[in-house]
Amino acid sequence: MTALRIDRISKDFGRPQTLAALHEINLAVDAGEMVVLLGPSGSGKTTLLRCVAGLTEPTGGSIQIGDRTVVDCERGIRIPTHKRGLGMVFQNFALWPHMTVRANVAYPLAGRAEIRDKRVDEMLELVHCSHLGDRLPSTLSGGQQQRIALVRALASAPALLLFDEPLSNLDALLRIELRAQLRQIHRVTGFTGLYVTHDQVEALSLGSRVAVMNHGQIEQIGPPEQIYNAPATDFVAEFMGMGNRLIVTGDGALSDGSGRRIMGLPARHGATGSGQKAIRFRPESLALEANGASAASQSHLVIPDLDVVDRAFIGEYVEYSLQSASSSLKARMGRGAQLIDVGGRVNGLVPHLEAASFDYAPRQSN
Amino acid sequence: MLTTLSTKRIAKGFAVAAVLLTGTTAHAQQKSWDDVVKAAKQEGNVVLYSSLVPAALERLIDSFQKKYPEIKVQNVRTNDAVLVARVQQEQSTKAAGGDVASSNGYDFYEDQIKVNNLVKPIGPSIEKYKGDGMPWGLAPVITAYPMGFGYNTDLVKDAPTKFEDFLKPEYKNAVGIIDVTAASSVAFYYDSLRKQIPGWLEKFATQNPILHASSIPTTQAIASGEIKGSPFVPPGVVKALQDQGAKLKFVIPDMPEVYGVRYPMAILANAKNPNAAQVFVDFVASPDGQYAMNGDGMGMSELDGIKGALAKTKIFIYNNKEFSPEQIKATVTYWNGIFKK
Amino acid sequence: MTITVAPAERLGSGAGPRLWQGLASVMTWLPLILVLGFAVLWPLFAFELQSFVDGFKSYEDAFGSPGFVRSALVTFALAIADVIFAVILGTALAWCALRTPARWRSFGSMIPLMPLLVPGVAAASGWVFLLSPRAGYINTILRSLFGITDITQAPFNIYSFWGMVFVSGLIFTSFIFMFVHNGLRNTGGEYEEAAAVSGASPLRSFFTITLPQLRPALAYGSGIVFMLALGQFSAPVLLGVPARIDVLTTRMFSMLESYPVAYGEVAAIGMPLLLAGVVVAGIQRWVIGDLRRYVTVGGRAQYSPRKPSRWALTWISLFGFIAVALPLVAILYTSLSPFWTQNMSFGNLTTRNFVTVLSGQNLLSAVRTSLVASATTILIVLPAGYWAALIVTGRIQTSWWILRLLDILLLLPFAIPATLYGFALLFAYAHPPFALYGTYTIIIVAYATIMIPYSTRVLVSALIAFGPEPWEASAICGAGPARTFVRVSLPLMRRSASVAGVMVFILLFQEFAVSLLVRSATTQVVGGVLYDQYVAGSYPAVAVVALLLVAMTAVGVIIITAVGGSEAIKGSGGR
Repeated sequence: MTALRIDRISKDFGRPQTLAALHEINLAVDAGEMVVLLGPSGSGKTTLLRCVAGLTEPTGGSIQIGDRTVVDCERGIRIPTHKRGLGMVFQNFALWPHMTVRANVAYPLAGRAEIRDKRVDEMLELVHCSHLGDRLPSTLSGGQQQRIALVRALASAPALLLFDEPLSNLDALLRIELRAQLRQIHRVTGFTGLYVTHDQVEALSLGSRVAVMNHGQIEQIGPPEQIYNAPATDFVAEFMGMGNRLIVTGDGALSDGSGRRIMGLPARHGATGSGQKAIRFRPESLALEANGASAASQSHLVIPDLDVVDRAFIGEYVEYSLQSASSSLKARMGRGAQLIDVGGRVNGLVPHLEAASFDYAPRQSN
Repeated sequence: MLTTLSTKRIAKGFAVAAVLLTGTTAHAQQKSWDDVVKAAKQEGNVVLYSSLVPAALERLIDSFQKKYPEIKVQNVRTNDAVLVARVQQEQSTKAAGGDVASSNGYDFYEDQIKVNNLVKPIGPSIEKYKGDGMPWGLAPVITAYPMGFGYNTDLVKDAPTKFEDFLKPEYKNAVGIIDVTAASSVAFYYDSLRKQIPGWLEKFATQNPILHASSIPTTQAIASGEIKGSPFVPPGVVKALQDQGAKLKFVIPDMPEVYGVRYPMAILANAKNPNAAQVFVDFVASPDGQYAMNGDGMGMSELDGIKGALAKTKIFIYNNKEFSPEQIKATVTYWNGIFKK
Repeated sequence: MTITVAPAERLGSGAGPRLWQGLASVMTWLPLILVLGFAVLWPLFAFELQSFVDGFKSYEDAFGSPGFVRSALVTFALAIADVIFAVILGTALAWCALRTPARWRSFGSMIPLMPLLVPGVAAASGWVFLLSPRAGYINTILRSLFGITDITQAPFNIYSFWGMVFVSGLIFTSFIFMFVHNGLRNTGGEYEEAAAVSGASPLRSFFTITLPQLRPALAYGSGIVFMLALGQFSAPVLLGVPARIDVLTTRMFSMLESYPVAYGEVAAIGMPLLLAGVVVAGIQRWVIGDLRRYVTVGGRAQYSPRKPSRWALTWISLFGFIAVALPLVAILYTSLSPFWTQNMSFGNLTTRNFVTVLSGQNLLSAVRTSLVASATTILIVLPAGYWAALIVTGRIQTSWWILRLLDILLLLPFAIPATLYGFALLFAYAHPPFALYGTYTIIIVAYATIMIPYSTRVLVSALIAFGPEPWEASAICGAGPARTFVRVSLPLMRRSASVAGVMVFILLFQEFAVSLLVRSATTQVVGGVLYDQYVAGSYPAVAVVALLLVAMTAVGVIIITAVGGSEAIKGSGGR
């Protein structure tokens, strides 16, 4: 059953642009799914979320929650926010400071007092915050506040739960803890969720599907593994961590002016005709070996003659910065691997399956 | 030898001497008035405190400036209570303030005389002012007028002639009076009304009158149509508004004795511009000045033959000797009790 | 009002290790405390003492005179009614201002402040021309529209209790607007968004979420408005007295007309005002006490604009039209008329009144006095306010007692009604040994005394907003006090100094009672000229002077804003 259908939603801001525009977004979310909108600031993810919430008006398209059309620009339908049956968790928690925790959680609930109280108890129990019931939000820690904000959103069992970067204001350890809690609650309650974040780790761990957004459009949407392993565009590849990029022409010749060639380049990664391609891969996919060693390989790309310009110990891995003509690359090698000195020259090896390639058109410089 | 000087010769000598002396004195007097005028022009400034009707003041000052362009008049016009308070305040703090003062309350002048703060005017025009026209020999009466009824001719068909007329229903919520604290003379006026027409004030209060700070805004309110009429209106203000095209008229009340005001004008001894003060007072007392003050229906003059001056009506004025401060306070309390319950 | 911020550490009141150091550190606050203490306390003390000179006779005279009880009741009823009026209208306007579409937002937040630019006496005059029961322009138009020919049927009568509430309420609305608008901006839209998403209708959201958030702003604002409304003078003297409705301040003023002035009795009449002011100030402190409830909870507060509404702009424009445009038009029309009349026509318009009034000696010297007094006052209260702000925020360290004392000294001119203060100042300074009657000095001293709390408050807000870091960084870089002052303090404080300057300038032109009380025949401000014209001049002349007052206020604000930065007006609501 489709819990949320976004149909050709557009948002044009006209003049001062405090939020990003949207260009004909289409998205369908099934019941029980958690779809994550992932992207950098300005990509439009928050704007899209707010359109679903009714806090921002789209300029075109329609949105359906369940079987109700909540907004349809062409037919002039607009159901106000408070009638859409939603729940939302905000980045800044937005707990009302003059009300106790219980009062905050009870706010969305209708019905008789005893029923409400019971539900509030249930909710607080869900996040192990039953002892905080009579406290004021200002006396709680960030993590506690966000948990309360979460169950406030859940309390009325809404058809759709919205998350606006809820973990961004928490420190790293807390984020990990709350991510786990969120997954657990999703498993237990099976809510349908639309989650906005700029953090790829969050997206991958929380989403049943991830939609990567850029400049008001969805560049790719799919399960986490697909987004991670098979990025559909250069932007998605880079955003999902494939920071290393090499531009090649024809049969693997590097376009960086060094005259070198990548060896072992499969046809699919090669450029066609006179065009260029961008080869992308992750730092952890780049293995380093002594220069002048093995030549072509069936399973790997070989990038010859890389100069080691820096080496940093990160704890879990050692990070190398490598330079070759105009290309800068990074490599991560595990603790056990042999250390390579700075100033040395090495070859880089990248497994075919861990590289992605995209058509590349150099930007015109005016 | 003594017998050589005949009585005739001596008498003749005395006669000659007398002629010479008076001639010299007259000449000396003429010369010293010129000196005064010259000194006045050098001072270049005269500060006038008064509670005179602004329209009359405007005519007067215009006229004065035409004759004496070198002497600027600083016109400070307030109601009597403030005038009195200010002059006495300035005296006690030794501050500079007014040169010439004109109030219609005689007690003001008497208080000033007690502290020797009035100077006799010496100009040539003053000679015509005698007796009641020059009280205490120190301050010529420059204008006088009865306070009468004013009414809006568009709104009122039958002109009021008696105080009782203002008790008619048509005047309910449409009539005005002035505050008892505006001047001690106003308190006196209300007190005499209480005696002349017992019960009138109480009945008038039920007409719900609008209260003004002086008779001038009251008259303007009549002109604007805000109120239909008022029993306490000066003729000069009515005239000024009529000249502007306002539809209102002035009526002298039909009574044996009408309340009125008389304005002496005095020179203060602590004046910064004593000569200019002399010149100014002299001008006001002169026929030109009197025409400005009283001509064309503005008021009554001590001088005869002033074009358009009001005919001399029998008026009674505020007499401070018969109206002590305690009586003032009692009247204020009585009035407040009726109008400000 | 709490403007005391307790820093973490404080020097004890004991002296430093050496006498010289101790003396030097005392000099950082003692002169200000002494001067301020004298300026604020001495006039009040000396004056109110007068009420006890003959035992309780002054009180018997005052309280026993006819109409006293009624005027006392009217005074308090008027203040309460004004507060309710201003809170409802001001909050509604602030709500609308934050919902105006982005393009019109600065317009929308400026309009509700415009009544402040029209001095109270000018506004009251305008409303007299508009709503006098018979001759008022609006009444005349309404009657002809609805065919009511009997002239005693006036739809509205401005000479009434509700007339006073309305006219002074409009200005108080601007005050409340400032506080609430800022309060709403500070909390951001997220709380309301969370409420909407949680299913609350806009109405429920407003009453359960927005209003409680505004409690500090409303408590503070309504306290201020109540104190100002208790001591108001302009509307009562122009609108109440003609209807024979007195408030305590007009009663006090009418006693000035008799000589010798019975200061004792005046002081006795003023005593209830004094007590009420102090009590309200105390309650206000107590109510705002528990600030925990209003700490904005959460991460970095991001201002998220609320959803725009088309109606918001309409309501705000309507307010601007009624509160500002109508009286100004009425004043303009009257100033061009030969005399005030209900028979409106455009054929008789003349500029004669302008020529007469503006060429008068009285007016020219009054304009000079107004400008000199205002400018000098600003030049005094800005540095003095800055000095006081340094002490209040703990940048200059003193003992807890001195801080408490300073707090009270800065609170009193707020809490004491201006009319009462005017009398106290007149009494204290007019006679020997000061003998300042008739000088510019007494006006400046009076103005400075009542304005210091305002300038201090603005500068304290600015210092708190900046935090101590800019100054600490300067010290660490090796700059001495002088260099820090020139390179850091002046530039940073420039904008808030101009905000304070604008506020003081506007308030001085709004000020009426004190100006009337400390004036003399030859030294008075323009407001005094207006009153004289009202008492014994022509209504058109009143209109001319009223226009002049508005023009002077507007020009002054423009100049000060240009000097200090355009955020001046918008930032003037800073808590």
